[in-house]
Amino acid sequence: MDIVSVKNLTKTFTQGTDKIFALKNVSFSIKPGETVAIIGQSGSGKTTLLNLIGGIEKPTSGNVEIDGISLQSSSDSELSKIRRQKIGYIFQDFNLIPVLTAEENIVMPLLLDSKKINKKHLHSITDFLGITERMKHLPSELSGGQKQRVAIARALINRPGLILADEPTGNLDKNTADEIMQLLLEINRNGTTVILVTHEEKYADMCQRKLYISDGIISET
Amino acid sequence: MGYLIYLQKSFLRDPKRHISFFVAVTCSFILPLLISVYRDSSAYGMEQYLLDKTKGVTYHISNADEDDMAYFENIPGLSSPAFDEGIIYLSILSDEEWKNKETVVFYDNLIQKQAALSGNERLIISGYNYENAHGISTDTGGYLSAQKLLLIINLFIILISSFAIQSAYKSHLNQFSSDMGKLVSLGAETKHIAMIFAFEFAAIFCMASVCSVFVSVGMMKFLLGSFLEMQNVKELSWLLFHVEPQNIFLHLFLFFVSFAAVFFFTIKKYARCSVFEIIHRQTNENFKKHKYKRFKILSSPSASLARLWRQRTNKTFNSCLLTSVPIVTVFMIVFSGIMIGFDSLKTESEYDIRLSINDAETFGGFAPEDVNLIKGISGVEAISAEYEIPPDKYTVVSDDPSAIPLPVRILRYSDLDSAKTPLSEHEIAVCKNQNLSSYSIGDTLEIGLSDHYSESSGIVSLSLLVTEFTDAKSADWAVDIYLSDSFYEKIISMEPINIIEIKLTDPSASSHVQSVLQTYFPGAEYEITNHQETVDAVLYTSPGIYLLILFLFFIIFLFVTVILYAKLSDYIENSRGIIRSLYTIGASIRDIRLSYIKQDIKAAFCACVIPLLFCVPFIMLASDSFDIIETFLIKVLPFYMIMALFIIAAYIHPVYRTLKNVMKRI
Repeated sequence: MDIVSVKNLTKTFTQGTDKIFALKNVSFSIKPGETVAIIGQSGSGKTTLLNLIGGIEKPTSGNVEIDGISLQSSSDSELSKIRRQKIGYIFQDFNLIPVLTAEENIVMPLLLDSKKINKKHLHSITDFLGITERMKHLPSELSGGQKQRVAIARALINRPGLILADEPTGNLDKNTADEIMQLLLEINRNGTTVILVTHEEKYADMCQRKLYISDGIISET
Repeated sequence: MGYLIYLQKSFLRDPKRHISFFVAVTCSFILPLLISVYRDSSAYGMEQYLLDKTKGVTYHISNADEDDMAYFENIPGLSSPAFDEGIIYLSILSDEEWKNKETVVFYDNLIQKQAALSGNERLIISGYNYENAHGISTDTGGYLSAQKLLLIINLFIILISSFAIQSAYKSHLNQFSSDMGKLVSLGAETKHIAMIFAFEFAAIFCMASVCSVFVSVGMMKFLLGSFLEMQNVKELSWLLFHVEPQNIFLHLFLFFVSFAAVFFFTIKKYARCSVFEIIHRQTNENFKKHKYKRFKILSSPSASLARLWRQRTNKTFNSCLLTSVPIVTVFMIVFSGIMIGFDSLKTESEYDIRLSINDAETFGGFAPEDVNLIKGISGVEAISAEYEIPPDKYTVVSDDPSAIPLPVRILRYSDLDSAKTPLSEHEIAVCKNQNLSSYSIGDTLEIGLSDHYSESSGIVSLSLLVTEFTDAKSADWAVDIYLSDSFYEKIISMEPINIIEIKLTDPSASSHVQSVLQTYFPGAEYEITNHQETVDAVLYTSPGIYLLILFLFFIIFLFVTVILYAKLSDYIENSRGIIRSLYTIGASIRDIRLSYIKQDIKAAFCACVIPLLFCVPFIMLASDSFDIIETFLIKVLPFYMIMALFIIAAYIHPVYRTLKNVMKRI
C-alpha cells in the first residue's frame, strides 16, 4: 500500500477577484521507504503541496491519503492524530517553541499524545543527531544546525512512517546543510519515507525520485 | 511636520490601537476628577453651611427683644447690634482681635455682663470663632479628616492609574517597535523616535484631559443637580455642586508628571536596545531564560499545555492581574463604603424625633406637664424622657489654677463592651488617654462642675477611685469615665430632664409633629432633631448614589477592559508562532484553544477572588459600628457577582476572539 497517495489535488487562492492556482489537478503516489524530492522555483507551489500532504492546509478539491486514510474525510482531531503519529514535519525556519528547552521541544508530540517519555528512545535519537549535550538549552541558545537537529529529533520522537521536510537546509551554511541531508538519508535507510522540498538540485539528486513542480503542475523524471 | 505625518499614518493604519490607548488614559483620569469635584462640592457645602449658621458674625444673642438692643450698643471694638427674628447679631470689628483667644474671652465676658444687665434671663449667647464665621471649618475630626482622606484616596488612585497606564503604554509602544526599529535602521536617532511618541503622548494627554474634565464635571453636575445636592438637612453635611479650577489643574498636573515619568522611562528603555532587539521586541519576552521547571505530562494535552504556558509565558496574565486587581479592589472598597454608609444613614433610629433643651440647669428641664403635652400630640406613639449629661458639665479638678480645664464625659459602665467586674460606688473605669497619662490604678480622680454650671444644683464635686483603664475609643479633647450603673442612675435622678425622644405612629407624621413642637417650644434653648428628615433625604439621594455607582462601574470596567483587551490580544497574536508550531506537530485546534483558555480562566478566577479577599477585611473593620452583614449579602455580594462575570468576560473574550482569528489564518 502507498504511504502517500495524492489524487486530483487542486488548491486555489483568491486575490481580490482573481483566482490563483497553486496546484492544478496533481496526482502521484509514494511507496513506503522512498525518498522523494519535490523541486521547483519560488512560488511554484512546493510548500503548499507539502502542507496539503501534511494535512496543515485543506485542498480546494481532490484527496490525499496517508497510509490509506483520507485526510479530506478526517475530522480536526483525526487529522491531528495523523500528524502526530504518522508524520514528522521539518521546516526551513525550524518552528521550535522558543519558551521550551530543546528536550521539551523534542518530546512535545508525546505530550500532545499524553504518552510517557521513553528516555531510552529519546537518548538514542539525540545521540544519533549529536545534540545530547544541548538538551537543557533554549532554541535561542542553539546554532542553526543544532536547531534543525532538534526539529528532526522532534519529527522522529513518535516513530512516524513519513517525514515531510520543507527546505530543511534553506537556513543553514553549506557544511551544516550537507550534514542535515546525510541525517535525513540515514533516517530513510532505517525505513522512514522522506519527502523533501528543495530548490537545490544537489540534494534532490540524493533522493530516489524527483517531482518537478511548475505553475502548480507536477511532472516526474 | 514629519513627526505629525508619521503619527497620522500610524493612526490611519491602526486606529483601534491608538483609540484604545486614548480611552484607557481618559478613563484613568475620570475617577480622581470625580472625587475632586465631590471634594470641592463638599467643601463648598461646608462653607455655605458655616456662613448660613454664623451669618458671618461673632455673637448671636437669642431669645432677645428689640428693647435688649440698647444694652449692646456702643461697645468699643464691637459692631452695632443688628436685630432679626429674636436674635441680636454682633461682631468683633478687628479681625486680629477676633483671631486672638484672649481678646475673644474679654468680649465674651463683656457680652455676658451686658446680657445680665438687660435683666432678660432667657438670653442665650452663642459665639463663633473667626474661621467658622468666614466659612472655614475647624472640625479636624470629621469634615477636615474626610477631606484629607479623599485627597489621599485620590493620590492613591492616581498612583495605581500610573502603574496601569505604564503597563498599557509599554504594550502600546511594543506594537510600534517594529516601526521604531525600521526608522532606527534607516538612520533615525533616539531623540527623533522620542519626539514622534512625545507628540502622540502630548496629543493623547490633551485630548484625554479635555474629555475627562468634560465627562467628570458634567456627570457630577448632573448627579448633584438632580439627586445628590444636600442643603438644610440637620444631620447631614451640605453638598453643593462646585468646581475649583485650580484643583482640576492640580490633578491634571499630577497626571502629567506621573505619565511623563512613565513616558520617559519607557522610551529610555528603548534607547538602550539594539535595532534587532527593538524589531523583535514583540517576541523578545519569549526568549528570556526562565527558571527551569519539570516538564509534566498530564491527563490531557490541553491541561499539559496550559500548565506549560503558566510556567513559561504567564507574564502577560500577571501584568493583567496587576492592573485589574488593584482597580477592582479600590472600586469594591469604595462601593462597600458607600453602601455601608448609605445603609447606616437609612437605618431607622429607635425614635423619630428628639427634643432637647440646652442648658437645662439654667432654663430648667422639661416639666411633667411638658411631657404630657407631647404625649398628647396626634401621631406620637411613645416618648422617652431622660437626662443626658452635657459633655462640658464636669471637668478634672487640677492643682494648677492656670491649667485649661479638661472636660469629663460621664458614661455607664454597662455600655462599655469590655466591662469586666462590676464597679462599686465611686469606683471608675477610665479610658486610656494622653491627658491622664500621670494617673495609675488606685489613684483618685477629682472632678467638679465647670464654671458655667457652678451655680446649678446637683453634684458639685466627686472623688473617684480609678480601678480600671479601658481600651475603648475616647475623644482627644475630653476624658471618658465609666461609673457603675447604679451610681450613674443616682446622679441622673438628681438632674432635670433635658432630652425627650419621640416615637411616631407613622414616620410620615414627622413634619406635622415637628411643627407642633416648634409651636409649643419656640425658644432658642430648644432643639428639635427630626431623624426622619435624614432618612427622607437619604432616600431622595438614593437614585443618584446608584447612578454614580453605575457610572463608576462603567468607567472602571471600560478602563480595565481596554487594557486587558490590548494585552491579551497581543499575547495571543505574539503566540502565533507557537500555535502554528504546535498545530504542525499534531496539536488539535481544540487542544490549543483549550490550553490558552485554561491559562486565561485561572487568571480570571484570581482577578475575581483577590479583590474580594481584600474587600472582606475592610467590611469586617467597618462592621464594628453596626450590623452590615445584611448589606454585604444583599447588596455588595450580588453586585460583586455581576462584576465578577464582567471581569471573567473581560479576560476570556479577547483571548477567545484572537485565538479564533489566529486559528483561521493558521
